[in-house]
Amino acid sequence: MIWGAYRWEVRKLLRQKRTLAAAAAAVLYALAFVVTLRLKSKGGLPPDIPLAGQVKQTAAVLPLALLAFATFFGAPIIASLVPGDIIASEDTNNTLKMILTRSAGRGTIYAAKVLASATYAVALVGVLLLTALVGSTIAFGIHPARLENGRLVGGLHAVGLTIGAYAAYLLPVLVLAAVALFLSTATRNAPAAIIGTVFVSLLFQGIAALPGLGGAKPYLLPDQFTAWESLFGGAGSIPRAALVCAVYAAVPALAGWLIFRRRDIAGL
Amino acid sequence: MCAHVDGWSGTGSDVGAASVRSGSALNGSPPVEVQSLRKTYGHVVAVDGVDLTVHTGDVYGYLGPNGAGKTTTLRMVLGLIRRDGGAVRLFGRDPAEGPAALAGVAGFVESPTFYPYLSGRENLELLGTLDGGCPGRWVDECLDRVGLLDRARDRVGGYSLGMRQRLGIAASLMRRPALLVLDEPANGLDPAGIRDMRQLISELPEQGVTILYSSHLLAEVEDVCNRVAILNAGRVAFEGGLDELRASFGETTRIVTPDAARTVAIAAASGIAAAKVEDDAVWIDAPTSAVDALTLALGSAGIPIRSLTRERRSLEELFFQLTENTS
Repeated sequence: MIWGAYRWEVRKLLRQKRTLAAAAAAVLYALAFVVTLRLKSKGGLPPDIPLAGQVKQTAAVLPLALLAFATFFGAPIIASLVPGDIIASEDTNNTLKMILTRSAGRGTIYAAKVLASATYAVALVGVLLLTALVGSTIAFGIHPARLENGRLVGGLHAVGLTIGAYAAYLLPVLVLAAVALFLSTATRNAPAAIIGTVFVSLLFQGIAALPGLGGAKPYLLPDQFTAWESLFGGAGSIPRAALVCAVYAAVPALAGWLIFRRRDIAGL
Repeated sequence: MCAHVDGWSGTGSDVGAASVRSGSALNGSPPVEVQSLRKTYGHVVAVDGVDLTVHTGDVYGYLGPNGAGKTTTLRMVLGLIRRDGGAVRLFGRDPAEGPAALAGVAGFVESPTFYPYLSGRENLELLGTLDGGCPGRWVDECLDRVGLLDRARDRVGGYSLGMRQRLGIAASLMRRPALLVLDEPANGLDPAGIRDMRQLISELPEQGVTILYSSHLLAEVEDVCNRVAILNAGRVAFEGGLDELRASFGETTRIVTPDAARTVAIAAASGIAAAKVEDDAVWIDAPTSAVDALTLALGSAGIPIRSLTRERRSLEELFFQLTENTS
């Protein structure tokens, strides 16, 4: 029954303006980068972004810049836009009392919402990647790229690495989606869940900036946003990011479930 | 889980027939058993030791003034909120144990709510999926039964309150319930809708469906319910048949005679203290046997009786007597 409930959750998301607005925002964000860099005659990306110097030479680089710039605000806002609303809106519309008096249990409903939130995050990152790749391909073409370690790779290979980078970036985005889902369950208020997710993200960034954390930093959330750089010869570890993000995502998702399974459905 | 149904006007409907309903719901236990049910919100006691039993085939009216605890009780009955004390059993199962306990049970609390951006049909299809699947034909038949088939493709956001009520009924019928819990189902319905609702509620028990019916429309309840519970300030002020309710208050008899004053005196001498003169008639509250004795006494005293009428109290009168006297 989870599969059926999940399909309906996705269908509901596709019918809501909020989802379409998030997708449009992702497209506009990507296109803004493409247009700006295409029109910019001098300079380019900050040098700390992998392959920054080759941004106008091959399509694989510009999408990476989007990731680097999105970490502080873009990712938490976009990642929380729908998951932050997915349970809160049921409270607002008073629809939980209808669906929870059917044969599907709370576990089924919650699992379907978790899966739908994850699907949304995957789709949104996919839209961002697709727009950025198509835009930068049109603007700059697909050409070989030289990685941070000096290895020259073909244009399509570089694009493949970029796709891998987005897959790796998805991991911490899913953590933010899980945080938003938890806040949506706990606060029953979509704006509070979205703002709260941004706050939690900034809090993680602040903690990571504290001095003396040395060995713990690779296990803090902000480092997972740059794990994709390892694909291009930079620091970081994607397997470790997967493990760390799984733990970080599981905690809010389980906490949300503990609230959801026991809560009274009494309307707002 | 879904049911085969006929039109809203309902002729030969199979919606509640036991043959198509989940057999697990029909296990011999009463559809609803509530014992010492209690719910508090902070220092406010919303439901305070409610006991009630709905028997198979009952159309059970659940009445009470605003804030009496009716909806809170129904929410606990459907497992939507946790109880602080007491027990609830639906066909012998505790709804707090999960959705399996709601097999054969359908209904809604307060106004039924739907996803406004989905159409009426989509909303029912969604609910059907959560019931384990429901053929589209059945969805259409349920929509047809409540007169919404023509608007099935419209978004629910554009529905009137009455149309949402109808959709709520359709959503409930889809589960081919053995027990139907309805909270103010006539809210927002136009007169034709109320008539159709009354007819539906009258038909369903014939097909084996038990109905727990909460409403403020006392005339409707009086018309369709065989048993009632009247809740006041979180407690059951009365539970039983309508006749029992009337009997518990005694019955009023109106006697027209040419000598009201002597009639009152003879009534008092016969042990009927509650006799008064009003509108040129003598009104007495007394059981049938006492009235029989009084008529003989009046005859013996030579006082003619021009008319003698047993006045049946309406549910509304009894409701106010119960709820306003004890508030």
